[in-house]
Amino acid sequence: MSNVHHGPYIDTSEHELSQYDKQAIALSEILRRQSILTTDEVRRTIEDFNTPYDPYFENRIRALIAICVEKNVLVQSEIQEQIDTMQIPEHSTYENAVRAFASLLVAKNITSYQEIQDQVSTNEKRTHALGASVVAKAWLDIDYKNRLLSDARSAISEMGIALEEHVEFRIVENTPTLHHVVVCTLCSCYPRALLGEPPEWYKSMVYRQRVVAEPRQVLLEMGLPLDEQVKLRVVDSTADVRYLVIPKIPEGVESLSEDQAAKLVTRDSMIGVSHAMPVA
Amino acid sequence: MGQQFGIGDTVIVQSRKVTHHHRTPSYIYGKEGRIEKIHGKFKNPEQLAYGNNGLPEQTLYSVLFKYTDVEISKDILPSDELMMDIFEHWLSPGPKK
Repeated sequence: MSNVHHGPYIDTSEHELSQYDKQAIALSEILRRQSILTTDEVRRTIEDFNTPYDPYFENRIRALIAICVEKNVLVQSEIQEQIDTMQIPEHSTYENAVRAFASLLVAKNITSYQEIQDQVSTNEKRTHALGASVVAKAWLDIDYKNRLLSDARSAISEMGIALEEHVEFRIVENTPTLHHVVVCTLCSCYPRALLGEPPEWYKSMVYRQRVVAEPRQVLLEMGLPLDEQVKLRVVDSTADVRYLVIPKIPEGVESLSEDQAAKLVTRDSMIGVSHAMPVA
Repeated sequence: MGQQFGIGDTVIVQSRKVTHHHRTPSYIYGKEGRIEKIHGKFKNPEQLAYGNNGLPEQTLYSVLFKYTDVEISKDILPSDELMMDIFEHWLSPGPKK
């Protein structure tokens, strides 16, 4: 393998969401819930940009504004005027756009600052701890695991976790002989209801291209060398189904409580780019 | 249920010259796989993307491919697989096995 040229390394550093990023996400969801736009329209708009999904949030806010103008929810000149009036010179174009867009939607009674803040707060509660609790229960209760594998939505609802209505969920299981890794080559489909917002690397062109073009190498670089005896299954979530991986059960997990087991389940293991942590 | 394919059926992904928004990655065009799961009916994203109502709903399938048949990677082993969700109107029946 040493004289095969591999693609660029995937930068796996973590990036915290800024308040602007959180508002951009919240505005997306509010506009969708009000049937002002659909996820598909946002994707279609972004795909026409020079560098789709890069930078991610900048393109997202640009798409939301473009669709609202397309649908006459607002007029190009008024959003431009709002940006000009409200802009803070020290802030980036992106930050100024988010602030102006939000304030225009509020002025037009499409939403309120309270609704935006409530959505931001709801989204902050969506962390990978939700997915980890589902995985831990599946590890320790085989009947639950089987229900989860056959009807994810209903099994997850048993745990009182709220799921989006406009997508479906499917849980896949990693075993000693089968390993799943999930990607969305077309955009950034991800089980946000169970994991929160995906990491930057998951949304990057580098990961999205390389994990289908050289999956075993990507896993190796991300710290997961897969044995030859293990069958790899790359899952490209191309449509309305969101995938969560049950990582391979660590040895000795049956001696733990669900809470203790959940602490071993990392976000990356539920994407499939690493294993869960071992039992101490 | 009214869908064209059953679990285990061999299917071939159509190759189309499309300029509009769609959700079948070009790397899978023309490739042969088999139906692994039937997800049910969903609104057509190709229509929704342009403000249409996405009806009639189309059946969405999980299709499993032998990675070697996909022909995009040398970094895989013979038993490795690729799985993705494809709408019925992008699938043609494959040869009977």
